[in-house]
Amino acid sequence: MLVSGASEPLDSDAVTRLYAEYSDELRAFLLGVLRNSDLASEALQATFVKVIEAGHTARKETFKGWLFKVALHEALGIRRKRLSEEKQRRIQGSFNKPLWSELARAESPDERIVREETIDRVRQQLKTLPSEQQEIVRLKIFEDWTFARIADELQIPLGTVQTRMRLALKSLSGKLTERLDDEQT
Amino acid sequence: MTTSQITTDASPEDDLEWRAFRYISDEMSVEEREQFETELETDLAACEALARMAVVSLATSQLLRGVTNPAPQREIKTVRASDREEASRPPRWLGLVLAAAALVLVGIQLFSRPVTNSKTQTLVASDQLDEAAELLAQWNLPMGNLPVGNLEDSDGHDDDFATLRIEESSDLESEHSDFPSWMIAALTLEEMPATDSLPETKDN
Repeated sequence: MLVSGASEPLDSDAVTRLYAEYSDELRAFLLGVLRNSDLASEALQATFVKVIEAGHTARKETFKGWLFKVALHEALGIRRKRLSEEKQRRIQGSFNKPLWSELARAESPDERIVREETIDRVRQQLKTLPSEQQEIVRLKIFEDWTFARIADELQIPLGTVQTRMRLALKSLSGKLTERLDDEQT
Repeated sequence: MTTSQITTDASPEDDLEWRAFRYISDEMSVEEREQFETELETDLAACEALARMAVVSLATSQLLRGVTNPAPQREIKTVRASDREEASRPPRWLGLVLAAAALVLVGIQLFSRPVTNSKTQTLVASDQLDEAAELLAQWNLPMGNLPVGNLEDSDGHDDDFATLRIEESSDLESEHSDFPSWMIAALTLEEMPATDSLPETKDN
């Protein structure tokens, strides 16, 4: 770990390595909070400015937590700023939309955050899901329906819809975690 | 029962991921969302779960748009492209109307020709072949040499009419100097048998 509570600010090499290590995950996290690729990029940049300014004060063992906390504060600050700058109703609408629908509409290059290998793994895992789970995933993420609407349209209980979605996510996320584990080993 | 309570045999990590997914898919109430954001400030696992769910969601979205969507999209694009082609093309009925109009024009021309031809045929069929031959023979003669007297035919017509015609044709000649005099004279002579020397027409 590069950060060790040093009194000197981090040098550019250290920041570069931290960026290479954490930027993808941070970016995904920020996209989840902000649902907007431009704002996520802005927050990511602001986060690493903080890393340059104060990263050396963070403890080595809690650096990642510190980094995510800084990123969350930057994201919430940006969101508050945007909400006050523009009409709250309009912006609130964009913050309240599902992550994928916002990025899909913008066709943002930030979707590159999802690497091809990740997509391949998700593709493989998606095929293994029971058809009823696949259907829920498609209706939720592709059709952008709410759980309530899915339950209504398919005439099944809301809890069943959520359970199927949850099981599907667990399976897909498990495959993603495998990838991370493979990379670490 | 709230949606977050559906946690049968779920580990804390699963629960975090589930809440993270509900957060990014906007399935949380305002209170739940604020609570989750508070949790994000203090719980790194929640942050990691959120990042993970963001990646899974985006990957799935990208996949579904790329795999599930292409076929329907292609269909839609095809339909739209054909619609555009259809729109840019003139309607089919317009082609039919134009074709019908062309046929009508051709028909009119065909009907108008027989009228002219019938005159000629009538002329030929009315035993005026000799006169026609004479006319043709005179075609190249200058007007001054025109044998007007020949028109005093067996019908007993005098040449007043012919003279009148020639005078008129002289007037025409002066008015339309572009036409050679012999042509006007020939046309004048042509009219005479058509009116006077057609026995069939008279008989009928």
